[in-house]
Amino acid sequence: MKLTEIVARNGLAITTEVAPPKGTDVTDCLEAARLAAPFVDAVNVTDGQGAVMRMAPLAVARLLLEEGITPVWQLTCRDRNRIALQGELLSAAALGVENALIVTGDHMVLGDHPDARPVFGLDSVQLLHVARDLAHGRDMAGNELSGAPDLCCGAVVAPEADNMQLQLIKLRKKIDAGAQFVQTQAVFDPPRFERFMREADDLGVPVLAGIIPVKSPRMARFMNARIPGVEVPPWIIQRLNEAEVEDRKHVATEIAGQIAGAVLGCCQGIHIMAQGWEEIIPELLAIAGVSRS
Amino acid sequence: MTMQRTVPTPIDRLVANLPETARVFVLGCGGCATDEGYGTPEACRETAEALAEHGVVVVGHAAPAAGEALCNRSVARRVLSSTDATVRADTLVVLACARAEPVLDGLFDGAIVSGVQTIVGDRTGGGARAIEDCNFCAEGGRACIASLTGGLCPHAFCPKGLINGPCGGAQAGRCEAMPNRPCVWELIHRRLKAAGRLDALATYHPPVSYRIAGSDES
Repeated sequence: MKLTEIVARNGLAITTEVAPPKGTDVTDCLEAARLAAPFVDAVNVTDGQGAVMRMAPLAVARLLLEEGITPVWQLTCRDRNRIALQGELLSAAALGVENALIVTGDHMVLGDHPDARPVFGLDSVQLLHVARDLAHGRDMAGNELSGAPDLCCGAVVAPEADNMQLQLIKLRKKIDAGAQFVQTQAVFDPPRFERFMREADDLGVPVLAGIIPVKSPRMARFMNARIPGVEVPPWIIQRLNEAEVEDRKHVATEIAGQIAGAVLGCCQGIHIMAQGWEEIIPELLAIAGVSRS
Repeated sequence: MTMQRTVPTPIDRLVANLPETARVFVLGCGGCATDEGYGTPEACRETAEALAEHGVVVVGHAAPAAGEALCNRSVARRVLSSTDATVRADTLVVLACARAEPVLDGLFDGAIVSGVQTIVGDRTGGGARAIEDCNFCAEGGRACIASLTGGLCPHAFCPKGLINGPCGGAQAGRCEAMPNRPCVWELIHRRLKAAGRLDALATYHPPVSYRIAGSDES
């Protein structure tokens, strides 16, 4: 089902994400998705997240469909030129994928293949335009398609990035280009996110706020040093530091759930990046005040 | 000697790129732009007069001596401090190739508007900085977007070549991929804000053509 239909039906959408395996063994990846599935509406499959080489997400998206789980398939501009990107969009539609999240992609210098050739032949705004044209039955060269991919395409934004004004200008371009939903980078500062949403009030598409349970002070430091557009604030690090080690999972869940509950008043859903802690999703949602019937 | 080829920006387009209340100083270049005939003291005077005829407040003009290129930081600093008119100005109109702009950016606080367009050049030549500042798009008849991005080309400067706005990865204004460099979109934002042209950021730029030159000649 399309994410826009889910929001129209339920008033909000809850999603999470899994990363395809480094290798051919999909057991853990599918297990994580199965664990989360009863509590969420859809599961993102990331595309070479952090510029780390992994199985192509389209394969995992198809495996999720076979399990009865709705995938949100991610597609980055980093690794493919316009011929490959258009081909992927056609492939996804043919395999039954209905939701695509269109992203630029982290630069390869951040990942495990820093010598790879950066492609970035289209940016996310341009690729959204292309996806819309494909849906209307034409490729970038103007050639007619036999069968058009009808995908619900989403866009990302980093609401806590340094320069909110620039982020908003680009986000509006993405929506003009046909983005039908917005998924955000991690939110840690609900008042700041509310300001972002107020500034963006005329978007006209559902926004899902990104929620990351920060597992430990070490993970916070790693994220601050290495994850673009993310800044874990000191108060979270302090609360994790003060917690007993065996209690940390609960504290991390509580923090994430409180942030989720605080932002849900001003957006249409949350996207939980559980990173291997899929089992905390029900508790996180309960703390956030979301009841799934 | 390597050479950047430039052509003047048409005067009405140049006027349109200036802040409405701009106090303009016209700055020439003794390097490639002088060889091309556009960076000379005479050319600066003509541009200043043409701007004044269009109702723009011009507080002065200057050009370094022939042979002294504005992409050399010490030349740029010297010519900017040669007259106090540059202090009264809040906008520089620069008659030099795209290579001069990143140098001036660190030396002048106001808006910097290019008075010429770079059409072809050699990316290893001339400048004091090893920075990719121009992909010479206009050479193949492709659109140059620099007049909408404060004279800085994001396609050349950004490691992802992003021309529709920044990725979300900059930290404290620094590039995600090259933390020793500023995010070019931060610089563009600052310049367009100073020029009162933030509206230019909303422009959608279609995909760049990567067709190789000569591929369609039979």
